[in-house]
Amino acid sequence: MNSVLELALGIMTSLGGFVDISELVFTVAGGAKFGFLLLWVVVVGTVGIALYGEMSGRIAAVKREPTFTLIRNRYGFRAGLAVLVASNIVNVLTCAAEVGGLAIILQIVFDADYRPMLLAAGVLLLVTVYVLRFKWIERVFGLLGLALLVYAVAAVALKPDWSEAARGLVPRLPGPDTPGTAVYFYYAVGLFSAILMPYEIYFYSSGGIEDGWTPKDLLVNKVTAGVGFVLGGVLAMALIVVGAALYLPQGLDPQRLSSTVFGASVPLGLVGFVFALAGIFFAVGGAAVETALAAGYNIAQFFGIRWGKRLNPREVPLFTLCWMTAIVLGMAVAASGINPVDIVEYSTIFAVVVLPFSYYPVLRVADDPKVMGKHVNRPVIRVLGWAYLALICAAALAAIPLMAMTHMGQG
Amino acid sequence: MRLPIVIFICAFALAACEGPDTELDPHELKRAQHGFTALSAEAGLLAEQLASHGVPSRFASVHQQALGEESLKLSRQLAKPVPPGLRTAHDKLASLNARFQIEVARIAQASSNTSDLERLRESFRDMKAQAAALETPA
Repeated sequence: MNSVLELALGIMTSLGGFVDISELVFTVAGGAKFGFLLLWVVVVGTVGIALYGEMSGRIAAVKREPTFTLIRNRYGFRAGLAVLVASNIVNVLTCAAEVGGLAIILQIVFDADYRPMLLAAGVLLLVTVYVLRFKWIERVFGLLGLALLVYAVAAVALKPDWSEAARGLVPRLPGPDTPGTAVYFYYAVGLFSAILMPYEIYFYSSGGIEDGWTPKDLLVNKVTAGVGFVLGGVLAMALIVVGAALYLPQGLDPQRLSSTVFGASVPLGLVGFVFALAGIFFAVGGAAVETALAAGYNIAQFFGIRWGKRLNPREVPLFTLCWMTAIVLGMAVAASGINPVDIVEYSTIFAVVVLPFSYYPVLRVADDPKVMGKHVNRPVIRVLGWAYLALICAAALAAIPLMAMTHMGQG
Repeated sequence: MRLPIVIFICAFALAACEGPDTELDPHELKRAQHGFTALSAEAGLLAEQLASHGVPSRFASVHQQALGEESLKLSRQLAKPVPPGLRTAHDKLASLNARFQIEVARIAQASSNTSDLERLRESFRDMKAQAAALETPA
Protein backbone atom coordinates (compact mmCIF):
# COMPACT_ATOMS: atom_id res chain seq x y z
CA MET A 1 0.00 0.00 0.00
CA ASN A 2 2.84 2.34 0.93
CA SER A 3 4.58 1.84 -2.41
CA VAL A 4 1.33 2.51 -4.30
CA LEU A 5 0.95 5.74 -2.33
CA GLU A 6 4.58 6.63 -3.07
CA LEU A 7 3.98 6.03 -6.78
CA ALA A 8 0.81 8.13 -6.80
CA LEU A 9 2.55 10.94 -4.95
CA GLY A 10 5.53 10.73 -7.31
CA ILE A 11 3.26 10.98 -10.36
CA MET A 12 1.27 13.86 -8.90
CA THR A 13 4.34 15.80 -7.83
CA SER A 14 6.00 15.45 -11.23
CA LEU A 15 2.72 16.45 -12.89
CA GLY A 16 2.29 19.44 -10.56
CA GLY A 17 5.95 20.40 -11.00
CA PHE A 18 6.00 20.00 -14.78
CA VAL A 19 4.81 23.47 -15.71
CA ASP A 20 6.96 26.48 -14.89
CA ILE A 21 6.93 30.09 -16.06
CA SER A 22 8.68 29.24 -19.34
CA GLU A 23 6.03 26.67 -20.27
CA LEU A 24 3.23 29.00 -19.23
CA VAL A 25 4.63 31.70 -21.49
CA PHE A 26 5.51 29.61 -24.53
CA THR A 27 2.37 27.45 -24.49
CA VAL A 28 -0.26 30.17 -24.04
CA ALA A 29 1.54 32.65 -26.32
CA GLY A 30 2.20 29.90 -28.87
CA GLY A 31 -1.50 28.99 -28.91
CA ALA A 32 -2.42 32.68 -29.20
CA LYS A 33 -0.17 33.09 -32.25
CA PHE A 34 -0.50 29.76 -34.04
CA GLY A 35 -3.64 28.11 -32.72
CA PHE A 36 -3.21 24.36 -32.33
CA LEU A 37 -0.25 24.16 -34.70
CA LEU A 38 2.35 23.76 -31.93
CA LEU A 39 0.66 20.85 -30.11
CA TRP A 40 3.02 18.36 -31.76
CA VAL A 41 5.99 20.12 -30.15
CA VAL A 42 4.58 19.28 -26.71
CA VAL A 43 4.33 15.61 -27.69
CA VAL A 44 7.91 15.58 -29.00
CA GLY A 45 9.25 17.52 -25.99
CA THR A 46 7.36 15.41 -23.44
CA VAL A 47 8.67 12.13 -24.86
CA GLY A 48 12.16 13.67 -24.74
CA ILE A 49 11.99 14.76 -21.10
CA ALA A 50 10.42 11.43 -20.06
CA LEU A 51 13.17 9.57 -21.93
CA TYR A 52 16.10 11.52 -20.50
CA GLY A 53 14.46 11.87 -17.07
CA GLU A 54 14.11 8.11 -16.86
CA MET A 55 17.74 7.60 -17.96
CA SER A 56 19.12 10.10 -15.43
CA GLY A 57 16.95 8.60 -12.66
CA ARG A 58 18.11 5.09 -13.61
CA ILE A 59 21.76 6.16 -13.43
CA ALA A 60 21.08 7.76 -10.03
CA ALA A 61 19.43 4.58 -8.77
CA VAL A 62 22.01 2.14 -10.15
CA LYS A 63 25.28 4.10 -9.91
CA ARG A 64 24.24 6.83 -7.46
CA GLU A 65 25.81 9.33 -9.84
CA PRO A 66 24.00 12.60 -10.50
CA THR A 67 24.17 14.50 -13.80
CA PHE A 68 26.99 16.90 -13.01
CA THR A 69 29.28 14.12 -11.84
CA LEU A 70 28.69 12.54 -15.26
CA ILE A 71 29.40 15.85 -17.00
CA ARG A 72 32.69 16.28 -15.13
CA ASN A 73 33.70 12.69 -15.86
CA ARG A 74 32.79 12.95 -19.54
CA TYR A 75 34.26 16.36 -20.43
CA GLY A 76 37.09 16.76 -17.92
CA PHE A 77 37.65 19.78 -15.70
CA ARG A 78 38.03 22.68 -18.20
CA ALA A 79 35.23 21.87 -20.63
CA GLY A 80 33.09 20.63 -17.76
CA LEU A 81 33.59 23.94 -15.99
CA ALA A 82 32.32 25.79 -19.09
CA VAL A 83 29.18 23.62 -19.04
CA LEU A 84 28.82 24.29 -15.30
CA VAL A 85 29.07 28.08 -15.77
CA ALA A 86 26.64 28.09 -18.71
CA SER A 87 24.18 25.81 -16.89
CA ASN A 88 24.23 27.91 -13.77
CA ILE A 89 23.73 31.14 -15.73
CA VAL A 90 20.59 29.51 -17.14
CA ASN A 91 19.60 28.31 -13.64
CA VAL A 92 19.99 31.77 -12.12
CA LEU A 93 18.17 33.48 -15.02
CA THR A 94 15.34 30.97 -14.78
CA CYS A 95 15.27 31.37 -11.00
CA ALA A 96 15.09 35.17 -11.51
CA ALA A 97 12.10 34.78 -13.82
CA GLU A 98 10.36 32.42 -11.39
CA VAL A 99 11.00 34.67 -8.36
CA GLY A 100 9.77 37.65 -10.41
CA GLY A 101 6.67 35.64 -11.32
CA LEU A 102 6.12 34.76 -7.68
CA ALA A 103 6.37 38.46 -6.78
CA ILE A 104 3.71 39.31 -9.38
CA ILE A 105 1.32 36.78 -7.84
CA LEU A 106 2.00 38.19 -4.34
CA GLN A 107 1.40 41.67 -5.79
CA ILE A 108 -2.03 40.57 -7.01
CA VAL A 109 -2.88 38.88 -3.71
CA PHE A 110 -1.74 41.72 -1.42
CA ASP A 111 -2.32 44.67 -3.79
CA ALA A 112 1.23 45.88 -3.09
CA ASP A 113 4.23 47.19 -5.01
CA TYR A 114 6.49 44.84 -6.98
CA ARG A 115 9.80 45.40 -5.14
CA PRO A 116 8.56 44.64 -1.57
CA MET A 117 6.77 41.59 -2.93
CA LEU A 118 9.97 40.48 -4.67
CA LEU A 119 11.77 40.70 -1.35
CA ALA A 120 8.92 38.78 0.31
CA ALA A 121 9.05 36.11 -2.42
CA GLY A 122 12.81 35.70 -2.00
CA VAL A 123 12.64 35.48 1.78
CA LEU A 124 9.73 33.04 1.55
CA LEU A 125 11.75 30.79 -0.75
CA LEU A 126 14.89 30.96 1.39
CA VAL A 127 12.97 30.08 4.55
CA THR A 128 10.87 27.36 2.89
CA VAL A 129 13.84 25.59 1.33
CA TYR A 130 15.91 25.95 4.50
CA VAL A 131 13.22 24.59 6.80
CA LEU A 132 11.48 21.92 4.71
CA ARG A 133 12.96 18.52 4.07
CA PHE A 134 13.50 17.48 0.44
CA LYS A 135 10.43 15.22 0.29
CA TRP A 136 8.21 17.97 1.65
CA ILE A 137 9.58 20.56 -0.75
CA GLU A 138 8.68 18.23 -3.62
CA ARG A 139 5.26 17.47 -2.20
CA VAL A 140 4.20 20.96 -1.11
CA PHE A 141 5.03 22.63 -4.42
CA GLY A 142 4.24 19.65 -6.65
CA LEU A 143 0.88 18.78 -5.11
CA LEU A 144 -0.37 22.35 -4.68
CA GLY A 145 0.84 23.11 -8.22
CA LEU A 146 -1.87 20.67 -9.32
CA ALA A 147 -4.26 23.63 -9.04
CA LEU A 148 -2.98 24.41 -12.54
CA LEU A 149 -5.24 21.60 -13.74
CA VAL A 150 -7.85 24.36 -13.81
CA TYR A 151 -6.44 25.12 -17.28
CA ALA A 152 -7.39 21.62 -18.41
CA VAL A 153 -10.95 22.29 -17.20
CA ALA A 154 -10.84 25.72 -18.88
CA ALA A 155 -9.66 24.15 -22.14
CA VAL A 156 -12.73 21.88 -22.17
CA ALA A 157 -15.06 24.71 -21.06
CA LEU A 158 -13.89 26.88 -23.96
CA LYS A 159 -15.31 24.24 -26.35
CA PRO A 160 -12.47 24.27 -28.87
CA ASP A 161 -12.68 22.58 -32.26
CA TRP A 162 -11.26 19.23 -31.15
CA SER A 163 -10.80 17.91 -34.69
CA GLU A 164 -8.70 20.99 -35.52
CA ALA A 165 -6.80 20.46 -32.26
CA ALA A 166 -6.11 16.83 -33.23
CA ARG A 167 -4.65 18.06 -36.53
CA GLY A 168 -2.17 20.09 -34.47
CA LEU A 169 -0.60 16.82 -33.32
CA VAL A 170 0.84 16.40 -36.80
CA PRO A 171 3.65 18.83 -37.70
CA ARG A 172 2.78 21.26 -40.50
CA LEU A 173 3.87 24.72 -41.51
CA PRO A 174 1.75 27.74 -40.57
CA GLY A 175 -0.60 29.40 -43.07
CA PRO A 176 -0.30 32.94 -44.47
CA ASP A 177 -2.59 34.43 -41.79
CA THR A 178 -0.05 33.64 -39.01
CA PRO A 179 3.00 35.67 -37.85
CA GLY A 180 5.28 33.69 -40.21
CA THR A 181 7.42 30.60 -40.49
CA ALA A 182 10.46 31.99 -38.63
CA VAL A 183 8.29 33.00 -35.63
CA TYR A 184 6.66 29.57 -35.75
CA PHE A 185 10.04 27.86 -35.51
CA TYR A 186 11.14 30.28 -32.77
CA TYR A 187 8.11 29.21 -30.71
CA ALA A 188 8.64 25.55 -31.58
CA VAL A 189 12.27 25.71 -30.38
CA GLY A 190 11.29 27.78 -27.32
CA LEU A 191 8.53 25.38 -26.34
CA PHE A 192 10.76 22.35 -26.91
CA SER A 193 13.45 23.93 -24.73
CA ALA A 194 10.92 24.97 -22.06
CA ILE A 195 9.83 21.33 -21.72
CA LEU A 196 13.38 19.97 -21.71
CA MET A 197 14.91 22.70 -19.48
CA PRO A 198 18.21 21.21 -18.22
CA TYR A 199 17.52 22.07 -14.58
CA GLU A 200 14.73 19.48 -14.60
CA ILE A 201 17.25 16.71 -15.30
CA TYR A 202 19.77 18.05 -12.73
CA PHE A 203 17.00 18.23 -10.12
CA TYR A 204 15.41 14.91 -11.04
CA SER A 205 18.62 12.87 -10.88
CA SER A 206 19.81 14.61 -7.71
CA GLY A 207 16.33 14.09 -6.25
CA GLY A 208 16.61 10.36 -6.90
CA ILE A 209 19.79 10.32 -4.82
CA GLU A 210 18.19 12.53 -2.14
CA ASP A 211 15.34 10.01 -1.95
CA GLY A 212 17.86 7.19 -1.59
CA TRP A 213 16.86 5.37 -4.78
CA THR A 214 18.41 1.95 -5.38
CA PRO A 215 17.86 -0.49 -8.29
CA LYS A 216 14.72 -1.58 -6.39
CA ASP A 217 13.24 1.85 -7.15
CA LEU A 218 13.62 1.59 -10.91
CA LEU A 219 9.88 0.99 -11.32
CA VAL A 220 9.14 4.16 -9.32
CA ASN A 221 11.56 6.02 -11.60
CA LYS A 222 10.01 4.59 -14.75
CA VAL A 223 6.44 5.35 -13.68
CA THR A 224 7.26 8.83 -12.33
CA ALA A 225 9.17 9.84 -15.45
CA GLY A 226 6.75 8.12 -17.82
CA VAL A 227 3.30 8.79 -16.40
CA GLY A 228 4.10 11.98 -14.44
CA PHE A 229 5.83 13.78 -17.30
CA VAL A 230 3.28 12.58 -19.86
CA LEU A 231 0.41 13.94 -17.73
CA GLY A 232 2.42 17.16 -17.41
CA GLY A 233 2.58 17.23 -21.19
CA VAL A 234 -1.22 16.93 -21.33
CA LEU A 235 -1.44 20.00 -19.06
CA ALA A 236 0.95 21.88 -21.38
CA MET A 237 -1.32 20.93 -24.29
CA ALA A 238 -4.32 22.27 -22.38
CA LEU A 239 -2.49 25.60 -22.08
CA ILE A 240 -1.96 25.70 -25.85
CA VAL A 241 -5.64 24.88 -26.39
CA VAL A 242 -6.58 27.77 -24.05
CA GLY A 243 -4.27 30.08 -26.03
CA ALA A 244 -5.81 28.93 -29.31
CA ALA A 245 -9.45 28.98 -28.22
CA LEU A 246 -9.45 32.16 -26.13
CA TYR A 247 -6.54 34.47 -26.98
CA LEU A 248 -6.21 33.90 -30.73
CA PRO A 249 -9.81 34.79 -31.72
CA GLN A 250 -9.59 38.02 -29.68
CA GLY A 251 -6.19 39.00 -31.11
CA LEU A 252 -4.46 38.92 -27.70
CA ASP A 253 -0.73 38.43 -27.29
CA PRO A 254 -0.18 37.22 -23.71
CA GLN A 255 3.35 38.47 -23.06
CA ARG A 256 2.83 39.03 -19.32
CA LEU A 257 2.38 36.47 -16.57
CA SER A 258 -0.82 38.16 -15.38
CA SER A 259 -2.29 37.77 -18.90
CA THR A 260 -2.31 33.99 -18.52
CA VAL A 261 -4.84 34.27 -15.67
CA PHE A 262 -7.59 35.21 -18.16
CA GLY A 263 -7.28 31.70 -19.58
CA ALA A 264 -9.04 30.38 -16.47
CA SER A 265 -11.10 33.42 -15.41
CA VAL A 266 -12.92 33.94 -18.73
CA PRO A 267 -14.43 30.45 -18.99
CA LEU A 268 -14.70 29.68 -15.23
CA GLY A 269 -15.11 33.05 -13.50
CA LEU A 270 -13.66 33.98 -10.12
CA VAL A 271 -13.20 30.31 -9.10
CA GLY A 272 -11.03 29.80 -12.18
CA PHE A 273 -9.09 32.95 -11.32
CA VAL A 274 -8.37 31.74 -7.77
CA PHE A 275 -7.26 28.29 -8.91
CA ALA A 276 -5.09 29.75 -11.68
CA LEU A 277 -3.42 32.14 -9.27
CA ALA A 278 -2.79 29.37 -6.71
CA GLY A 279 -1.54 26.99 -9.39
CA ILE A 280 0.83 29.55 -10.89
CA PHE A 281 2.09 30.49 -7.41
CA PHE A 282 3.04 26.93 -6.48
CA ALA A 283 4.23 25.89 -9.95
CA VAL A 284 6.42 28.97 -10.30
CA GLY A 285 7.56 28.75 -6.66
CA GLY A 286 8.41 25.07 -7.11
CA ALA A 287 10.43 25.85 -10.23
CA ALA A 288 12.29 28.63 -8.38
CA VAL A 289 13.23 26.11 -5.69
CA GLU A 290 14.25 23.52 -8.28
CA THR A 291 16.46 25.96 -10.21
CA ALA A 292 18.14 27.23 -7.04
CA LEU A 293 18.75 23.72 -5.72
CA ALA A 294 19.92 22.62 -9.18
CA ALA A 295 22.51 25.44 -9.12
CA GLY A 296 23.72 24.18 -5.72
CA TYR A 297 23.69 20.52 -6.82
CA ASN A 298 25.67 21.33 -9.97
CA ILE A 299 28.46 23.17 -8.16
CA ALA A 300 28.70 20.64 -5.34
CA GLN A 301 28.66 17.64 -7.66
CA PHE A 302 31.21 19.18 -10.03
CA PHE A 303 33.70 20.02 -7.28
CA GLY A 304 32.99 16.90 -5.25
CA ILE A 305 31.63 18.84 -2.28
CA ARG A 306 29.24 17.07 0.10
CA TRP A 307 25.67 17.92 -0.82
CA GLY A 308 22.05 17.06 -0.06
CA LYS A 309 18.92 18.76 1.08
CA ARG A 310 18.24 15.69 3.21
CA LEU A 311 21.23 16.66 5.34
CA ASN A 312 21.35 19.33 8.00
CA PRO A 313 22.48 22.64 6.41
CA ARG A 314 25.34 22.77 8.94
CA GLU A 315 26.67 19.49 7.52
CA VAL A 316 26.65 20.89 3.96
CA PRO A 317 27.48 24.60 4.38
CA LEU A 318 28.90 25.19 0.88
CA PHE A 319 25.98 23.49 -0.84
CA THR A 320 23.57 25.52 1.31
CA LEU A 321 25.45 28.73 0.46
CA CYS A 322 25.27 27.90 -3.27
CA TRP A 323 21.49 27.44 -3.46
CA MET A 324 20.92 30.46 -1.22
CA THR A 325 23.18 32.55 -3.47
CA ALA A 326 21.21 31.39 -6.52
CA ILE A 327 17.97 32.69 -4.94
CA VAL A 328 19.59 35.99 -3.93
CA LEU A 329 21.10 36.45 -7.42
CA GLY A 330 17.73 35.61 -8.93
CA MET A 331 16.12 38.28 -6.76
CA ALA A 332 18.79 40.79 -7.83
CA VAL A 333 18.17 40.11 -11.53
CA ALA A 334 14.40 40.32 -11.05
CA ALA A 335 14.83 43.58 -9.07
CA SER A 336 16.27 45.21 -12.21
CA GLY A 337 12.64 45.64 -13.27
CA ILE A 338 12.90 43.50 -16.41
CA ASN A 339 9.62 41.73 -17.15
CA PRO A 340 10.03 38.13 -15.88
CA VAL A 341 8.59 36.95 -19.17
CA ASP A 342 11.44 38.65 -21.05
CA ILE A 343 13.97 37.06 -18.68
CA VAL A 344 12.45 33.65 -19.18
CA GLU A 345 12.57 33.99 -22.97
CA TYR A 346 16.30 34.63 -22.78
CA SER A 347 16.89 31.82 -20.30
CA THR A 348 14.82 29.34 -22.32
CA ILE A 349 16.62 30.11 -25.56
CA PHE A 350 20.00 30.10 -23.81
CA ALA A 351 19.05 26.79 -22.16
CA VAL A 352 18.55 25.04 -25.47
CA VAL A 353 22.21 25.79 -26.29
CA VAL A 354 23.28 24.12 -23.01
CA LEU A 355 20.97 21.13 -23.52
CA PRO A 356 23.22 18.92 -25.71
CA PHE A 357 26.13 19.29 -23.28
CA SER A 358 23.94 18.22 -20.35
CA TYR A 359 22.09 15.40 -22.08
CA TYR A 360 24.97 13.77 -23.97
CA PRO A 361 26.80 12.39 -20.87
CA VAL A 362 23.50 11.01 -19.53
CA LEU A 363 22.92 9.14 -22.79
CA ARG A 364 26.48 7.84 -22.96
CA VAL A 365 26.45 6.46 -19.42
CA ALA A 366 22.94 4.97 -19.71
CA ASP A 367 24.13 3.34 -22.95
CA ASP A 368 27.28 1.83 -21.46
CA PRO A 369 26.83 -1.84 -20.45
CA LYS A 370 30.11 -1.77 -18.49
CA VAL A 371 28.71 0.91 -16.22
CA MET A 372 25.01 0.04 -16.15
CA GLY A 373 25.22 -3.77 -16.41
CA LYS A 374 21.76 -5.28 -16.91
CA HIS A 375 20.19 -1.85 -16.49
CA VAL A 376 21.74 -0.52 -19.72
CA ASN A 377 19.44 1.18 -22.28
CA ARG A 378 17.25 -1.18 -24.28
CA PRO A 379 17.76 -0.90 -28.08
CA VAL A 380 14.59 1.14 -28.59
CA ILE A 381 15.61 3.60 -25.86
CA ARG A 382 19.10 3.83 -27.34
CA VAL A 383 17.75 4.67 -30.81
CA LEU A 384 15.26 7.18 -29.39
CA GLY A 385 17.95 8.70 -27.16
CA TRP A 386 20.30 9.35 -30.09
CA ALA A 387 17.46 10.62 -32.28
CA TYR A 388 16.53 13.08 -29.54
CA LEU A 389 20.12 14.16 -29.07
CA ALA A 390 20.27 14.97 -32.81
CA LEU A 391 17.01 16.94 -32.47
CA ILE A 392 18.34 18.79 -29.42
CA CYS A 393 21.54 19.69 -31.33
CA ALA A 394 19.49 20.99 -34.27
CA ALA A 395 17.37 23.10 -31.88
CA ALA A 396 20.54 24.38 -30.17
CA LEU A 397 22.01 25.49 -33.50
CA ALA A 398 18.78 27.17 -34.61
CA ALA A 399 17.87 28.90 -31.31
CA ILE A 400 20.03 32.04 -31.38
CA PRO A 401 19.61 32.82 -35.12
CA LEU A 402 15.84 32.40 -34.74
CA MET A 403 15.80 34.73 -31.73
CA ALA A 404 17.70 37.39 -33.70
CA MET A 405 15.65 36.96 -36.87
CA THR A 406 12.28 37.19 -35.14
CA HIS A 407 13.11 39.85 -32.51
CA MET A 408 12.34 37.30 -29.79
CA GLY A 409 9.25 35.99 -31.51
CA GLN A 410 7.74 39.37 -32.37
CA GLY A 411 8.12 38.79 -36.12
CA MET B 1 36.93 26.32 -26.32
CA ARG B 2 37.26 30.06 -25.53
CA LEU B 3 36.62 31.36 -29.08
CA PRO B 4 33.23 29.64 -29.51
CA ILE B 5 32.16 30.99 -26.11
CA VAL B 6 33.17 34.55 -27.08
CA ILE B 7 31.40 34.22 -30.45
CA PHE B 8 28.32 32.85 -28.73
CA ILE B 9 28.20 35.68 -26.17
CA CYS B 10 28.66 38.30 -28.94
CA ALA B 11 25.89 36.73 -31.04
CA PHE B 12 23.63 36.62 -27.99
CA ALA B 13 24.31 40.29 -27.18
CA LEU B 14 23.83 41.32 -30.80
CA ALA B 15 20.51 39.51 -30.91
CA ALA B 16 19.35 41.63 -27.99
CA CYS B 17 20.60 44.99 -29.28
CA GLU B 18 19.46 47.45 -31.86
CA GLY B 19 21.13 50.60 -33.09
CA PRO B 20 19.66 53.78 -31.57
CA ASP B 21 19.83 55.92 -34.71
CA THR B 22 18.31 53.56 -37.22
CA GLU B 23 15.14 54.72 -38.96
CA LEU B 24 11.83 53.07 -38.25
CA ASP B 25 11.18 50.57 -41.01
CA PRO B 26 7.78 49.40 -42.30
CA HIS B 27 8.23 46.02 -40.67
CA GLU B 28 8.82 47.58 -37.25
CA LEU B 29 5.78 49.79 -37.68
CA LYS B 30 3.68 46.76 -38.62
CA ARG B 31 4.97 44.99 -35.51
CA ALA B 32 4.12 47.98 -33.34
CA GLN B 33 0.66 48.08 -34.91
CA HIS B 34 0.07 44.40 -34.09
CA GLY B 35 1.43 44.94 -30.59
CA PHE B 36 -0.91 47.85 -30.04
CA THR B 37 -4.05 46.07 -31.28
CA ALA B 38 -3.19 43.15 -28.95
CA LEU B 39 -2.69 45.53 -26.02
CA SER B 40 -6.02 47.31 -26.62
CA ALA B 41 -7.78 43.96 -26.95
CA GLU B 42 -6.32 42.85 -23.62
CA ALA B 43 -7.22 46.09 -21.86
CA GLY B 44 -10.77 45.67 -23.18
CA LEU B 45 -10.85 42.10 -21.85
CA LEU B 46 -9.65 43.31 -18.46
CA ALA B 47 -12.48 45.87 -18.31
CA GLU B 48 -14.97 43.19 -19.35
CA GLN B 49 -13.70 40.70 -16.78
CA LEU B 50 -13.91 43.31 -14.02
CA ALA B 51 -17.48 44.14 -14.98
CA SER B 52 -18.47 40.46 -14.89
CA HIS B 53 -16.53 39.87 -11.63
CA GLY B 54 -14.29 37.30 -13.30
CA VAL B 55 -11.27 38.98 -11.69
CA PRO B 56 -11.07 41.12 -8.53
CA SER B 57 -10.17 44.82 -8.59
CA ARG B 58 -6.74 44.24 -7.00
CA PHE B 59 -5.86 42.22 -10.10
CA ALA B 60 -6.80 45.24 -12.22
CA SER B 61 -4.21 47.51 -10.62
CA VAL B 62 -1.40 45.00 -11.21
CA HIS B 63 -2.46 44.12 -14.74
CA GLN B 64 -3.12 47.70 -15.83
CA GLN B 65 0.41 48.52 -14.68
CA ALA B 66 1.77 45.66 -16.80
CA LEU B 67 -0.23 46.86 -19.81
CA GLY B 68 0.98 50.43 -19.20
CA GLU B 69 4.59 49.21 -19.18
CA GLU B 70 4.04 47.40 -22.47
CA SER B 71 2.58 50.58 -23.91
CA LEU B 72 5.65 52.54 -22.75
CA LYS B 73 7.84 49.95 -24.44
CA LEU B 74 5.84 50.54 -27.60
CA SER B 75 6.41 54.31 -27.26
CA ARG B 76 10.15 53.67 -27.14
CA GLN B 77 9.93 51.52 -30.28
CA LEU B 78 8.09 54.32 -32.05
CA ALA B 79 10.53 57.00 -30.86
CA LYS B 80 12.84 56.58 -33.84
CA PRO B 81 13.43 58.81 -36.83
CA VAL B 82 10.46 58.23 -39.14
CA PRO B 83 10.81 58.21 -42.96
CA PRO B 84 8.18 60.38 -44.76
CA GLY B 85 6.29 57.39 -46.19
CA LEU B 86 5.46 56.09 -42.71
CA ARG B 87 4.79 59.45 -41.06
CA THR B 88 0.95 59.40 -41.18
CA ALA B 89 0.56 55.86 -39.88
CA HIS B 90 3.29 56.39 -37.28
CA ASP B 91 1.77 59.59 -35.90
CA LYS B 92 -1.67 58.04 -35.69
CA LEU B 93 -0.34 54.99 -33.89
CA ALA B 94 1.73 57.12 -31.50
CA SER B 95 -1.31 59.25 -30.67
CA LEU B 96 -3.47 56.14 -30.10
CA ASN B 97 -0.76 54.77 -27.84
CA ALA B 98 -0.68 58.01 -25.83
CA ARG B 99 -4.47 57.85 -25.46
CA PHE B 100 -4.14 54.22 -24.39
CA GLN B 101 -1.73 55.14 -21.60
CA ILE B 102 -4.24 57.56 -20.14
CA GLU B 103 -7.19 55.20 -20.45
CA VAL B 104 -5.45 52.09 -19.15
CA ALA B 105 -4.47 53.90 -15.95
CA ARG B 106 -8.19 54.41 -15.24
CA ILE B 107 -9.27 50.77 -15.22
CA ALA B 108 -8.61 49.98 -11.55
CA GLN B 109 -10.30 53.19 -10.42
CA ALA B 110 -13.36 52.31 -12.48
CA SER B 111 -13.48 48.73 -11.23
CA SER B 112 -16.55 49.22 -9.06
CA ASN B 113 -18.48 51.23 -11.63
CA THR B 114 -20.03 49.16 -14.41
CA SER B 115 -20.85 52.10 -16.66
CA ASP B 116 -17.29 53.47 -16.43
CA LEU B 117 -15.96 50.04 -17.23
CA GLU B 118 -18.30 49.80 -20.22
CA ARG B 119 -17.11 53.22 -21.46
CA LEU B 120 -13.48 52.14 -21.12
CA ARG B 121 -14.19 48.90 -22.91
CA GLU B 122 -15.76 50.81 -25.79
CA SER B 123 -12.76 53.13 -25.87
CA PHE B 124 -10.30 50.22 -26.08
CA ARG B 125 -12.41 48.57 -28.77
CA ASP B 126 -12.36 51.82 -30.74
CA MET B 127 -8.58 52.17 -30.35
CA LYS B 128 -8.10 48.60 -31.48
CA ALA B 129 -10.29 49.16 -34.55
CA GLN B 130 -8.49 52.39 -35.46
CA ALA B 131 -5.07 50.77 -35.09
CA ALA B 132 -6.12 47.74 -37.12
CA ALA B 133 -7.40 50.00 -39.89
CA LEU B 134 -4.10 51.86 -40.22
CA GLU B 135 -2.51 51.30 -43.57
CA THR B 136 1.11 50.43 -43.04
CA PRO B 137 3.26 49.61 -46.07
CA ALA B 138 4.03 45.86 -46.21
